Amino acid sequence: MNCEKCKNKKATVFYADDGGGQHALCTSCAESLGKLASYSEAAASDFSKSGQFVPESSLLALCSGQATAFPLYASRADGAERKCPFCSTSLSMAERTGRVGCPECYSVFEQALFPAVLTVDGAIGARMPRRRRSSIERRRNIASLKLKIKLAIEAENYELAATIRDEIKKLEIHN
Amino acid sequence: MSWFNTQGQNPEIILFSRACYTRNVSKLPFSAGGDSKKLSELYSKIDRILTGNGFHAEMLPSGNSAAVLALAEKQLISADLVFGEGKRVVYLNEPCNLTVSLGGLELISIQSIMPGRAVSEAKNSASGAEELLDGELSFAYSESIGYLSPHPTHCGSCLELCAALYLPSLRLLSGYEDMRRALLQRGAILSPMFTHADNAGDLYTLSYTPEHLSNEENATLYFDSLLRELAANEQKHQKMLFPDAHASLTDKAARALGILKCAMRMSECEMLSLISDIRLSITAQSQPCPMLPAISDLNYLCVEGLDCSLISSSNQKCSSLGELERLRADFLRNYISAKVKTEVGA
Repeated sequence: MNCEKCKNKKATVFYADDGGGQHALCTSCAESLGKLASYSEAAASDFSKSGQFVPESSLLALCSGQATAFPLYASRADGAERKCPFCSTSLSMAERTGRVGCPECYSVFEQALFPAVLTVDGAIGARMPRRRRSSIERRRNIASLKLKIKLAIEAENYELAATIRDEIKKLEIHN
Repeated sequence: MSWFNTQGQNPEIILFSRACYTRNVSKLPFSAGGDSKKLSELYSKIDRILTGNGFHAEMLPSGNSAAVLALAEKQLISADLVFGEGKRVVYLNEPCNLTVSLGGLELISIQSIMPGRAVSEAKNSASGAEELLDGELSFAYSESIGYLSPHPTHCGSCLELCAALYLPSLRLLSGYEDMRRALLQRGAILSPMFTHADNAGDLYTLSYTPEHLSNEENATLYFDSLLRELAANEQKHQKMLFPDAHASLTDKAARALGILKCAMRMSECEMLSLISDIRLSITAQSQPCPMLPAISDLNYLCVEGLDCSLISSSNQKCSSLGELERLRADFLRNYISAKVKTEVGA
């Protein structure tokens, strides 16, 4: 999604105005409209308390990458105020701050946050946590074999289908 | 050795290559303020793992001091650690060019930065540190979304490959917008390295984040190929722009060096512009003048001459822009006088 102001750069700052309208800006346009001011103001305040001088331009330069980003489609979620049971973050709170509270929020709000995510069969060489690697790979192998069995049956290759079925059984028992 | 003290491959165009993994921990709130007991235990665990593997810890002072910002200017920590809440710790492993920082907007950030074009080396180094922690911690991960982040749009591979490039031809040929759009179509983001100095210094960063479930080796090779292409493109344009310009480029560089050696006040913007003039003379000529500083010296000046690095390394307290500019001028005069030969070699 591109910035609604310059229409060139990728939008990374999402905010709602007082009328409830949703807006999406790139960091440069957000900065020019004062939507990134909160970071530099906070940083400048810290500096003024310590008596140290740092040009505001240096602080703004560091701020420019720290955009509050939140997918707009979260606002199209159902109106019910569900909360994460682990951290009590609600979807509306997450929308306001641009952040979710904990990893469990993704399980609770997945449909709202990522309505377009498809189940992926897997990719060779993709990185994933070591502890979950074997179970994820086993599950993906099973999904891949189920697709192969379907194709084998359609091609009336029942011997192959039987072999694949036995493989699936072995993997499912292990799972 | 830091990236700005040494030279790697293609040093005239590519200043450094960086790979950065960001991770959060499952069953732990993203905010550093939540569940302090669990967070303390986690920090102790990570401390035990890292200090036992060649890292040493540097506790960052609370608040946004110049010392913290200076680390971000040196590219040793990401800017999000500057604005992190709660306890922040940085673990450094200098021989391996590795940094692991805790307590930023993303809880754990693992970064490797290498001089020159060294994307694969940086990625392998960071990957090793990531696997070290992966063996003992349970990272927040979803099969469908990828590694999790407090920001939904940052979820996925949570790997960022980045490089800093010197591309003066983009300014000379007014080609920045075209190049930025072309690279965006190929999935990479080109942006000025110093936005606040009106991109003085002609320095840019190119970054690329592989998609969730993509093969990291292929992504690294792809990014490396983009860098090689950009470097070759830049060298071609420089040859085209300066076919017979030995005398004029050397003269411009010598003048720039003279100003850096003698000025009594120097703004950040002016310093970066003058360094760019010297750098262009080195990169555009097959036999640059021997009295010019080395590329690694220029990189050092570009980093240590920045506002926060200067404030944090000097013992003097600055209370105005004028004092800061005088401080910078002093630093430049001292460094160049010590490092640069004044006689022209044979």
